[in-house]
Parts: sequence; structure tokens; C-alpha cells
Amino acid sequence: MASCMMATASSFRPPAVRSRRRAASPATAPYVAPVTTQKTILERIAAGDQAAVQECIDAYGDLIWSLARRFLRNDADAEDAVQDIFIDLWGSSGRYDRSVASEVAFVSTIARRRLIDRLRSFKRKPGMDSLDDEEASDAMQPAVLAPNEEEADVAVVERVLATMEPEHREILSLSLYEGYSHSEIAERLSLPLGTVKTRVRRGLIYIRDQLNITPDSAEEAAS
Amino acid sequence: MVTEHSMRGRLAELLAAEAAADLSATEREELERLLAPAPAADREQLMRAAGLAQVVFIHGDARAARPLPGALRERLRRQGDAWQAGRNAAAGTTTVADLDVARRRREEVRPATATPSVAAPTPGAATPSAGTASAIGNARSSNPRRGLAGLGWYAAAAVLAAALVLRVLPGPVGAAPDPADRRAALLQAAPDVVRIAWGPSTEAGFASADGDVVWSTERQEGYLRLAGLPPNDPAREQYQLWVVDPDRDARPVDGGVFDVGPGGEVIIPIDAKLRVGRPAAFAITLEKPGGVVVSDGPLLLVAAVSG
Repeated sequence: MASCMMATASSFRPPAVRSRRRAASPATAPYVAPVTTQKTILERIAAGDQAAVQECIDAYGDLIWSLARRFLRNDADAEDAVQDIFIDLWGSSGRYDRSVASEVAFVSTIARRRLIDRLRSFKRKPGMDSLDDEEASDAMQPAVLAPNEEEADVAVVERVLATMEPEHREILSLSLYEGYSHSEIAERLSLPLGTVKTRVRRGLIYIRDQLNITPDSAEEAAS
Repeated sequence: MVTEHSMRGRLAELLAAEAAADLSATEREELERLLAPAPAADREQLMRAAGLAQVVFIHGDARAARPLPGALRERLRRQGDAWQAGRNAAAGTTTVADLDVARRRREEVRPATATPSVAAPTPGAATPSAGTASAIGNARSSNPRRGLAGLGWYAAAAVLAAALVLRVLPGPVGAAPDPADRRAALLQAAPDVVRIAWGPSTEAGFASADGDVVWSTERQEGYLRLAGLPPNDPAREQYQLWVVDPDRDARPVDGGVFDVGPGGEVIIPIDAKLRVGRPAAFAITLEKPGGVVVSDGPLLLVAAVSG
């Protein structure tokens, strides 16, 4: 199982972003752009590389599909959303700047925008739709299960979430990942609505701030 | 007193709410007001933080992680090809490879016995994009709620590319029978074929519109015959066909978009995005380029199936 996950996770990663740098140490953990002269998939799409468009589907299809399905909780909506996301992604490839974020961060940002658009347009009620949540079998293990070492920004967020109070983390998961509205979360967790709103907003701002720590400022803070 | 510090704090809070999909209408207005002098980067950063959090959550949620379904993957591949061809066409760099890919994909999508879905342009009648709506349809979702609107400029570029394909490709595609011939063949050969005349229209400019719909459910093939329809400007609007099928659901099936140029009668192949089981009516609306998912426009022409 583990080896399968590793293999598929590897195939999920854009091969062109493999680089010699390692994610920053846990103590600092800022996002640092990969040092590589190889073009990423999005950079190749922007440059007109025909094969890169298809590689993009192979690299990010499982991830986007899984996110869409989880967030929208409806396969038909998720299918539409995935198509919207890829079209947006290809068309936006020229805006990708590796010095600002990893490719998966760019992809997930576009995906998030489109998912929110769709959620808003269909006014989905989370929990009202049924999804088959059986664990995927090993044979069809999707390639979304492990972060890539070059994706330092993913590692930053992973650490931030890992060090959060479990209840705060759960609130963020329900809101950001599962698409529940804040009032639904408040009801589900028996918390005041204001508390939920505050925790989600402050949690996000905290993640953003951690992502924005530059290597220099992190070193200064550590010294 | 509102300080710059407190304003920045409020802005960050609203941006976080936006990224968390929890912005009320009042807050959205406030956000837009505060954002005017703020750098766009703030907005992007919080959305990125939320996007990355989603990625981390899915990494830790084996039950939710799923492989992209094969059919959707294939649909995306076709969209990717069309997008690429559209971009190249828009840039004036359409290549032989683009054309080969487009032809190959179409042949993959369309079984040998299937209805040819790309109309050869009828001189002096329908513009080439009447047929290219079908070509783009191959790259569209089979979901009834999805329209071309989401495809943006790519769709327009793909139309151009597909038009180029129609003009340049030799062989079976270029030699496809004229829609009028295919319509005649359908009328002659399909046992279940129905022919329904367009009903009278009360919409201004459409009173003199005439023609009929020919449809075979067994073959999932059909044609619109239209005369007297006002020409449309494809850059501003396109005609869209809808098929009402009570066996499906409340929403009519998207039958494709098409253009009408100046001139006489046009024959438009029906490009139903879903299988039509029991058509009750065919209707035409005028929509934004690429069509819409749900139309609220007036029904310009309706052909109701009797019985």
C-alpha cells in the first residue's frame, strides 16, 4: 500500500519541477521557489508545448477531481467543476510565477476559486448529497496522497495545520475542504457562529502569514 | 477612529471570509470598497492559503482521494486538444499536428456508424460555425447543466480552429455529405423519423421564420431546417437549440449552438449533448456566444411533437 502510494504520488508530481532544493527546515518553513532551469508543466503550456496540456491532466487530474468531489459532494457538479478548472488553468498558465508559489499552489488556488463559484451558483447543501466514500482500492489509488518535497508551501501549511488545536483544525477542514457553511459548522460543533467565523478567518490569515515569511525574515526570527 | 492598521485587519478578515466561501453580500460590498486601494496580491495570498489547506487535507484523507474517472479524463484530453488548437489558431500557428489531432479525436469520439456531427458549410446559408458547434460539442461536458459559456475565449478560438479543420482536412471529414443530403437520407431510411413543423412565432423578427425539425430517436440524429431567421452576429449572440425530453428531467437538453448568415434556407444538424429519449418539443433561443446552461430568453421558435 505504502509503495503504491509513493509510486502514484510520484506520478502526480510534475516531473519538470524536480529540483535539487529541499523544503526548508521545520523551524523556518517559508516558501522558497525551486532552483531549477527546467520548465514546469504550466510554464510549458504557456510556452505552447502541446504535450504539456495533456501532462497537466495526468499530473493534476486526480487531485482536482478529489478536491472537487469532496468540496461539492456531488459527482455531476464535480465533473463540471473539473472541466472549468482545467480550462481556467490552461488559460492562466501564463500567469504562473514559480518565484511566488509552487505549481500545486497555483493549481489549488484556481481550483478553489472555481469550486467556490460553483458552490455559490448551485447553493449546495453539504450533507444533503450522498457520495460513495468507500476508500479507493489499492488498484485505483489516486495520486494525491503525499506532498512533494519541492512543494515547500504545502509543507508550510501542513505544519501549520498539524500544530493547530484539533478543534480549530476541524473547523478549517469543514469550511475549506468540505465546503460546509459557517452556520452549518456552528450547528454541527455546537459553537457560536461568531466563533466559527473568527476561527476560520484567523486560521487562514495565520496560514497566509506563515507562507509569507521570507527566508531572510525567518532566519532573523530564528537568530 | 479607523486607523490604517484596523482597516488592514478588517480587509484581511474579509479576504479570509472570501477564501473560505463565507462572504455575505454586505461583506462583499465592503470588501470591494476596501480592495480598491489594496494590492491584488492580498486577495491571491489568502485564496492560495485556502487552496493549499485543501491540498493538505486531501493528502491526509485517503477515503476522499479518488482517481479521475476515465471518461472524464478522456473528455479533458479532447478539451485540451481543442484548447491547444484554438490557441494556435488564434495565434495564427495552426499546425498539421493540430489538424491531425483534431481529426483523430473526432474519429475516436464518433463511432463509424454514428451520425456525422460536423456540417459542411452551406454556401450562402449557415456560416461554418453552424457545424463547428458540433465540433466543440465533442469537447463539452455531457452534463446538461454545462454550457459553452465556461469555455471562454478558448471556445471561440476552437471554433476558428475547427473551421480551419473543415476547410483544410482532406479525406472523410472534408468529404462528409452535405447536411441537406444527410437529412434526406434520414427521412428516407429511419423508420422512427418524425418531421415537425416550426410553430408560428410571435417574437418580433421571427414571424416569417419557417421550416421543420427532423428527428430519429433510434439514431439520435436530427436536423433543423430553417428559413427566414434573422442573421446573427456570432461575436455577440448565437442561436441555441433545446430539446424538451420529459423522460430526462426538468431541464431541456442542450441541442447545440449555431449561426445563421444572410441568405436562404439552412440545414443545421442537431447536436444533442445527452441522449434524447422522448422528445416533446424543440425550441430555439438566442443566447450569448457559446450558449448558456439554462436559458431565460424567449422561445423564438418551437416545434412541438404531437401526441
